[in-house]
Amino acid sequence: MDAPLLRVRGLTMTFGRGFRRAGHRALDGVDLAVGRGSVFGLLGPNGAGKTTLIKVLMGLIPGWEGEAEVFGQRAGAADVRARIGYLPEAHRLPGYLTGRQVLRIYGMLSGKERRQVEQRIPLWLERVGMLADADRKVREYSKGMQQRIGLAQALLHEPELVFLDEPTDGVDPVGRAAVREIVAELRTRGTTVFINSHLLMEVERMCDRVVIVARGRIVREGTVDELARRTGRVAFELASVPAELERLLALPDLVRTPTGFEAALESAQQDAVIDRLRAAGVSIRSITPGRLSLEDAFIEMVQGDTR
Amino acid sequence: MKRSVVTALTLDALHQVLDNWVFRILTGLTLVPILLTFLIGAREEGVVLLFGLKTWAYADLPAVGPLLATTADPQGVVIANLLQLFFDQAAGNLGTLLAIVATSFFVPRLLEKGAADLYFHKPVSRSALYLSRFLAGLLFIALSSGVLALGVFLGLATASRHVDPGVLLACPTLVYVFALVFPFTMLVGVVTRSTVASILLSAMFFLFNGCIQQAWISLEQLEHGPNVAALVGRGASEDEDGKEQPEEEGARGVRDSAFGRALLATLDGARIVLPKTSDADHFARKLRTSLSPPFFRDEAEHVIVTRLSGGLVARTAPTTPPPAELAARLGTLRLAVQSDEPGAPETEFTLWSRPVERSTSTVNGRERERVETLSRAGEALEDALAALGATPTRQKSRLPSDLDAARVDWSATDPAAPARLTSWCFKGSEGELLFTLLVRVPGQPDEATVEQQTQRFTRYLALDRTAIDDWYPAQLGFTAPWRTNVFFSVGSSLAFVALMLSVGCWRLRRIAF
Repeated sequence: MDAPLLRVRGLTMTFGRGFRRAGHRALDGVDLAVGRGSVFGLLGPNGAGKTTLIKVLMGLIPGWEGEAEVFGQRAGAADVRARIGYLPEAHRLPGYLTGRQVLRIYGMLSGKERRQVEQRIPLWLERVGMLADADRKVREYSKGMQQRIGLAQALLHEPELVFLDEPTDGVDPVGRAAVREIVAELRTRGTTVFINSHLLMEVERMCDRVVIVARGRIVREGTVDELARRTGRVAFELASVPAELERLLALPDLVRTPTGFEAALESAQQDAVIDRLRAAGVSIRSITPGRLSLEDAFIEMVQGDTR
Repeated sequence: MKRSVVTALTLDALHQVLDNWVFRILTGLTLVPILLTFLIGAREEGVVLLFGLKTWAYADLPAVGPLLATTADPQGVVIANLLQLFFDQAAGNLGTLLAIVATSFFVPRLLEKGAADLYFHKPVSRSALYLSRFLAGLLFIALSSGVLALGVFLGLATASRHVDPGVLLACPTLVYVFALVFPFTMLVGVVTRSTVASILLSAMFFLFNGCIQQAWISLEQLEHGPNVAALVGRGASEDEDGKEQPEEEGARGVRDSAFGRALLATLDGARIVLPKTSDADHFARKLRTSLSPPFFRDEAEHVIVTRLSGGLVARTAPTTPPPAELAARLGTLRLAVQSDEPGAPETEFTLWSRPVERSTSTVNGRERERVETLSRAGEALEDALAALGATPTRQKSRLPSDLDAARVDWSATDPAAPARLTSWCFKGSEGELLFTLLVRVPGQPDEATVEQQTQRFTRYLALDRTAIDDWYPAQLGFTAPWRTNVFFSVGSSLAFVALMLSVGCWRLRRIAF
């Protein structure tokens, strides 16, 4: 197995600790190991420590304890930061710059040569749909436009690890689709992406794995499928829905849907239902096992942890 | 640090400055003095509007005319006052304060939530980012003052025909002063993260520090400086009865009292620690003076000839030297100037000096020192001329610069080289030397011609009243005692800057964003 891209062991961060003050422990012994090429969703309630974890890894918060390594080096080192892209939550781009100037300056601050940066600027402006407004001052931008430029600055230098803190915040549906597309491309390129978002639907659609943080600790980690477990119900999509469906199947909790029906079925029952439908000449288009949404799973887990 | 990072930080600083509305106002304000220097010129003949559309003689100017009429070089005085107004008062004080206001937000805004994350997650050290804001501040003041200095320089050169490269020194001077204050502004910014606190505390620091520096310099000047009373008054030559004037001891005796000594010790201590912002103006003044020195200056007695009128040229020795007996009476030759204008008399000007004569006399049993007065000096010259066969006439007079003098007129005794001669005996600020200006107009000119010829030189001869302001700059030097040593002044100021920046960087490194 490859060495992990990111490894955190016993990471603890306490804010406001003083001579006679215990302070607030934002991270409490976090352990995490992440390989290459996955899209991680970082979930957790407000104040769980998600942003603190990212900021520690970005070198924005000094004074942490434990181990935190990125690319095999101590988190926060300049060499490490050069290989990371970061879109902070509620970021504020300098209003005195235009979108193009932001990308130029932040691209060069990331350590790239000006020539390389200049080549990539139009590509990324187009990617985030800001080519037409690139030469307007940032202070004239809407929140969504600033978010798009912020995303471009995080990715312009082609980082190997990307932290996106609320990347779709304020972005319109078209923009959200573009963000999803960009994240999918990053995954294809082998870039590891961390997405911190409260929009769990977005996380569910973009992420392979999910890390749930609560009270400064990682409470669960796994694939979306593992976390959003099955509900036991199965949805059938039919070519045509027969009028005598209830009589034909004789299932106690059958519920009709516009394209078919759903019901609570064990595996053996599913086979019997399929046989009956085929015998009645009903064409089955799809069978989808129902599962708990990530949001439901998240609420269940966090509430369980709080209790 | 990589070149691209340096470029990025510079670009960021430049954009931040150019987008700043106070910078735009400040740049707009600098256009006012620039336009003034283009539209209104101060030339030798008077004040000129729109390159000669209308001209007013200096003496005819309202309010300041009579004063200017008595100065040796009204053009120089007007330009010097304009430069002082533009650079020392407007740019040096008001401009620096405005620059502090305009740049105070640089650090607090960098540290605002949302902005800080974007900058500090990049692979650039916090110290480099902090210093880039310092660079942005310097860039701000350099651009503003550069426009002002270059504009005024070009305005003076075109409208006033006064080419003074020293004017351009205003730019580095203002940058230096700002560089000494801005690290404090930044430190307040990084500690409080408040723009308002940065502005208020920095302005207070700038004014307080300026007061400390100026008070220290003033006390130094009072203790060791030139005879201010002589320079601003009539000079040391008015003691017609020859009595030695008592020296004004009040200010010079500050160290005599315990309070005075404690005050001076406190001032000395503050002076050592704080950045020497006032010295910057004095360096500039010294450099400006060295770039455009007067034609003649007696450092001890503060007698100057600011420049030569057109058509006069300097000579190493007079073409027609005075007889040896007369030369012995005049003392040492200090300068020789001759008219070289076609069609005009070859008038010759020579300036001589010798120590004033002192004698003692006993009055009522008490011994008193008597110092040679101007009238006595005139009398002695009259006697020497009479001994040579001339028929001199003596009168109490004043030079155009309002300097008391004893004037003696006579005609040359040699029929082969007829000439009208005039001598003016006067003293410098300290009254230790007696100067004699000898004017020789060849031929047999009438009185009006003699006066006209004489004034071509005497209008620029005066006591250097700027010596009061020039005294402290003159003390500054690379080999001067440590209190006025340039290395100490600059070194300790830069040490203050380094300390402020270091503490700022240290504080910034400890901030959790």
